[in-house]
Amino acid sequence: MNCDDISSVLAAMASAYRWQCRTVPERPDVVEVSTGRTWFDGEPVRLLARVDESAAIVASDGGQAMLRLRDAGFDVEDPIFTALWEESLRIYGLSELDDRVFVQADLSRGAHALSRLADGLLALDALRVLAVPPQDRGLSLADEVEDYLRSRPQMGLIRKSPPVTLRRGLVIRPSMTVETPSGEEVLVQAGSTSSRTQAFDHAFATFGLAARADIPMAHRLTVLGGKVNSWAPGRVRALGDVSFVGFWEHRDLIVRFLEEAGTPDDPVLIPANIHLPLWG
Amino acid sequence: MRNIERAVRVAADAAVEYRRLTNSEAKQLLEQWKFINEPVEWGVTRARNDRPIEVRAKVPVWNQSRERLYLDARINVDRPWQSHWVLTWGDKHHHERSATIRRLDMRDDHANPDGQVWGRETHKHLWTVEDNNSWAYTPDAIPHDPAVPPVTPDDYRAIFEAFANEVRIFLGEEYVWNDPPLADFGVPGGTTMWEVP
Repeated sequence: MNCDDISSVLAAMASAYRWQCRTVPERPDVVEVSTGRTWFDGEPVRLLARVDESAAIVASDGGQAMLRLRDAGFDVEDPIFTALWEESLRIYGLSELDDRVFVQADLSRGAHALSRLADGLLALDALRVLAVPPQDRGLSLADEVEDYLRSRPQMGLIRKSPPVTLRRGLVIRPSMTVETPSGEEVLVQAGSTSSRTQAFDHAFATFGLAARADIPMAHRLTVLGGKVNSWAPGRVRALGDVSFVGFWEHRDLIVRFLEEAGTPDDPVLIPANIHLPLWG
Repeated sequence: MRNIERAVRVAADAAVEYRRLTNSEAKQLLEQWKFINEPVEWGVTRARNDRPIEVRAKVPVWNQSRERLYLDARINVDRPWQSHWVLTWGDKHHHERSATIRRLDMRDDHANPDGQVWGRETHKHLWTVEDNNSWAYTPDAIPHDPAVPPVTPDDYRAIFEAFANEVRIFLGEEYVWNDPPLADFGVPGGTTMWEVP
């Protein structure tokens, strides 16, 4: 076996799958680069590129990878999708701005950067195999809370995973915001039992930032799944420092908190017959 | 991490259960006469920053096999001359792995496995289980100006109806053509999606 045996294949590769550059009609500021790669459905993987004032090449997919994943049924608000997307970007050393995946490199390293971008786009596209219909996913705690609150006519507008911009432009994304009957907007963060540490860290960080931005305590609510005593009391108390804390098992107290005027003295919303140690 | 593991498991389970189109079913669907009997309604797909990316219409196609079949039209607002017209089978929400039975790509790129190349040229993709959409040919009944961008803007209605006719779709009495709302988005290439960050 030697390379001559596949010379016709190599010649065809060089001809049909080579990188090419073309100008773009009506856009003198960018060029279109075909990568020789194709998406699984035969459509070509193309990049848009420009050279910036510091002689660096910047290339982007124009939002194609994200659009294709959404077409495949991915819920871009799903935290699992977000985690996979961001991890894939990190592994391939790619950046993203407003759905556009891009790289920036000195011209001397441009070939490597563009090749990595094209490879990374195909890797991102492969996330489609994880997209399943919502009914197959099972409801997350956040979905359950949202569905339940939506079913209550007293509740106003409920927004799922909305970006909440704090002072200095910092953005947090609680599980949802809920408009109470009195017209107040309460930020709700759900914490499921499937990953308690992650749930605690996320809720604590989210509401810690909200507290520092002077969002009133009465507008911050953590909803935890599972039994009260299944959570470490110290964690529950810590969450109680930055938000009210309800338990989905005792959702009547959560509903009362959201629907009735006045705020409870104890930020941990548990029935009177359940004792939560101060520490532990 | 456990959530991701669970998502992978759920996806793997779902994949096993998906129904997939066969070559003979696709052939049968293509050969029978089918109907579109409702208005063509366009929607706008937006990026997460709310910028429009494409306009899209997905019209159900009635067929004797009672399969979920759609004529799917996609026009990228940045490249209105590079529209895509797709006869699609299946719906993931009903555990069907979608198949693009035919896809008309206006002024787009493609390379067949045998080396035939289209560079910003109109072509139409075939579909088989084995080759997916790897093979294409040049259709001869699609009215358009081959220039990029075209001197005469595309008549999307004419393209839609020609494509429908090629794949044996009748247009019924309730069929109503509506123009895609491209005029709402300004000049081609005017969205941030076109900007290279």
